[in-house]
Amino acid sequence: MINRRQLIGGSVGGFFAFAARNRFAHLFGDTVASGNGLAKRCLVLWMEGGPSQIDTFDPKPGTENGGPTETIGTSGDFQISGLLPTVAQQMHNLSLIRNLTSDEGDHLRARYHLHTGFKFVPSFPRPALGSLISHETPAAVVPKYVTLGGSGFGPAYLGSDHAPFTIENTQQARTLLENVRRRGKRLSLLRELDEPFNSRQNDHRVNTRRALLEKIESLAATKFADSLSIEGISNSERARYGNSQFGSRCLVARNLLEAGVNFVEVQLGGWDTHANNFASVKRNCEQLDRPFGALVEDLKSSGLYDDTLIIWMGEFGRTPAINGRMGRDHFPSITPVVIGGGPINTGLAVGQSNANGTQIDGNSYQVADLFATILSAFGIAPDKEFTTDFDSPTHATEEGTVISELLESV
Amino acid sequence: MIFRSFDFSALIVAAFVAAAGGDNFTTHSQRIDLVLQQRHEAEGITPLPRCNDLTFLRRVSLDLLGRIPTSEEITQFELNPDRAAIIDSMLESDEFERFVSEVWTGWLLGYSNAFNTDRELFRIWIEREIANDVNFQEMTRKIITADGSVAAKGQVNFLARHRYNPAVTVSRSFLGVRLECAQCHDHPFDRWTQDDYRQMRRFFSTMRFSNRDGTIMLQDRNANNRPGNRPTFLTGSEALTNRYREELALYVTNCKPFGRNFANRIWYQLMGRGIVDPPDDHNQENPPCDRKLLDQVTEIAVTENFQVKPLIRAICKTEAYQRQSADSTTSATAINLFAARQIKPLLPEQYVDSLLIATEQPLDSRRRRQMIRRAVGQQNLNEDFQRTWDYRETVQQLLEKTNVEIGKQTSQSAREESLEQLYMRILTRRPTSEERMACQDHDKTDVAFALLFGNEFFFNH
Repeated sequence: MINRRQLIGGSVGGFFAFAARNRFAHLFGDTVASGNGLAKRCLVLWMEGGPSQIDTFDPKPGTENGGPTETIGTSGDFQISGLLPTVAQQMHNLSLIRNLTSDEGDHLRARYHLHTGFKFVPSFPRPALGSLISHETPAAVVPKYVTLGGSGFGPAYLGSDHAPFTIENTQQARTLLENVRRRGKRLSLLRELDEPFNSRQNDHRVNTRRALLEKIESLAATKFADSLSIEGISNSERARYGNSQFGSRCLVARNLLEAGVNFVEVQLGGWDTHANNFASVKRNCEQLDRPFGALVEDLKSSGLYDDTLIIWMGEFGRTPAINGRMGRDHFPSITPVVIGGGPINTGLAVGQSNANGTQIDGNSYQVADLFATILSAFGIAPDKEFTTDFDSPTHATEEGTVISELLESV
Repeated sequence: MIFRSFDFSALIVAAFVAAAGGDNFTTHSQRIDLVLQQRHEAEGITPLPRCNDLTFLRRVSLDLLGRIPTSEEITQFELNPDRAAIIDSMLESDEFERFVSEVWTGWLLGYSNAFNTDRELFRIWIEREIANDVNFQEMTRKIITADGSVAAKGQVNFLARHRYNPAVTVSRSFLGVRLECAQCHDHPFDRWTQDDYRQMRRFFSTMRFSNRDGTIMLQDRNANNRPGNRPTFLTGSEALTNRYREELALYVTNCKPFGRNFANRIWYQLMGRGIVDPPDDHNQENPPCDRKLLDQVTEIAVTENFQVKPLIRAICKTEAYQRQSADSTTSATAINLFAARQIKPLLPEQYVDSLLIATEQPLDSRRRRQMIRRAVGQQNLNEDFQRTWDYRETVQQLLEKTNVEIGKQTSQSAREESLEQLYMRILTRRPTSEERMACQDHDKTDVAFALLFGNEFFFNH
């Protein structure tokens, strides 16, 4: 298998592979203007419901399980579904993981697993990846973890400073911030009238809430509010993003990354295709294709790509066999992931499924391995220790090892 | 230290005789205060005095009814500030039963309908059980042995919600014992071994969940094991029959940690911190702040046969409950030993109901439910709420909260009424002279806003 990045920029890759191997690699982070530096940002395109791998990134044309999906050549070393022509042209900037396996077949449990890297244990809450990235990156005035189009998981023991800023409706969120700006007078009166109570108390929760109240005042004054708007963006630009709701969200995501938000998750629902799989997947891909392609292209040309991880994933894959309702059911055994940006090697398909897509051929990776790879790309040691609210020591990931095809390190 | 030898006699035969004559509950309260007094003297701590009447009214109203008092209630109480009487009357109200059911549902299930459960049905079940004076022992037994559909029987929802780790959740909720560590290895600082965990898990091994017509059904398959092969409880006792969950329910509800956990849990909910704190983690490295106090409160719980109301009544009537809240000069030891009141943030339910009262808005149940979900916060919906008093608000939530229109009615009233009326309605107290000065040049709507979203409103102190 040919690794384009190694062919093109072997020495640069070598240097950063060396840097990543060293724990103090992050010291180099700021000096990297271009090239494959460590990641500082992350964009997740979350396919809510569990996207069918066979109809997207691991097609099986000409087999019974393959269905009507046709394939298309890409700028990477592999073919993908013909439903994603724009994405196909960006595949040299992305890699596929075709051998990721999991055993979580329930939506909530799988959503949790792919958002935190850990299995769901209600009494042992784990921080979402977004919260962890927020915690591990320098403080900022803007929220560091934003979700668009759906909710995200919380910060667990990392504290509410690292909770997601969840935006269902960008216009509403913007109005919210503008109202705060307008009501600045009220907030300063609040601060004044609340002061006697606050200074009398001796409780960390009171202090935390006081700090939060101050934070909303300062938040209204940042460019965060403005980046929620796509009003200034031209029609042709919007057309590149497909003029859909998901497309608009992707445009906002681009703005947010540029405004300094470290972790943005954009959700696209409709992938739980137990019935009429092919019509639904086609509709979903029509929504997904242009914004996904445009985002990668734009991040590349703005240079953000070099320190931004781009991840496409959902809860799980879907059964290769087509059920009686022309649908596909939950299939965690193969969970498709697309990843690129930052120090990740791209243009590759990692691993493979067998001819009719029923199982992984050869080596496979676990969700924990994916998370070890993501964290390593940020220069965060996968075994970094944390202490929970109930004083239990724990690690950033669950004993994962870095996927070596994607990142040379550790 | 915790328990190994199984001791039915201590709990089932409640051999505690209340002091002869007089009011039982006063006696309970006095006993608690006596234990604390002895400890405070030994430590050289001077406890804070009683809080004033209005602070007490706000506190007890939030704790027992889940909301701040209305203007009329404030007026009534100022005319006759009988603390014992108002505790008694609140305990007999419907609002009390509803609010306790809400607090317990948060504790036992959290706030979502995860895994196709019906949280509201569980809550209604608890509310009815409390209204019917079913004690906590019996409720726990029903929860552990529940079967049937989550849509038909409220109590089934507990195990359905926790079906992926029932052993851990039952131990933690009803015994205050955390087996999480023992899932993978022996507990690092307690006696629990991985085998204890495996054994506990076996009690649930007969459970079968099925999805019928979109609702979750819980049924048991038959177990068919001979003595010697049946699961053993944390005490080392083996199940006597093959009806594992029945057996477990008996063991759980009759062992000493069950009583301690119940007493400590109720204490935690009212006092803002546990005698064992955090309340869901009784272990050798986390002993009670005062062993005698835990024994005393447990004894009351047992004497009162695990009824909820008498225990709450006893705690609310103590001096400890009625003290002033800690200030910046109070030592950590004094707070730990309940020589000063520990403040606590409002629960989502308390916050929403109080906001509705303070802004004179009607209590529409559908709107209320939406507001509560929002107050919990999207990112917290599936989280665990065993630690009721953790603070979880985020910037975004505060942003959204402070953005609600406080209503024409409120603005109208705010302009018409005096500053004193406004303070009474929102903060259950009169403004100080400094506050009168500070508010002088401000629109009353702005003052109302500042009071509603400030910390003083958001905490129960």
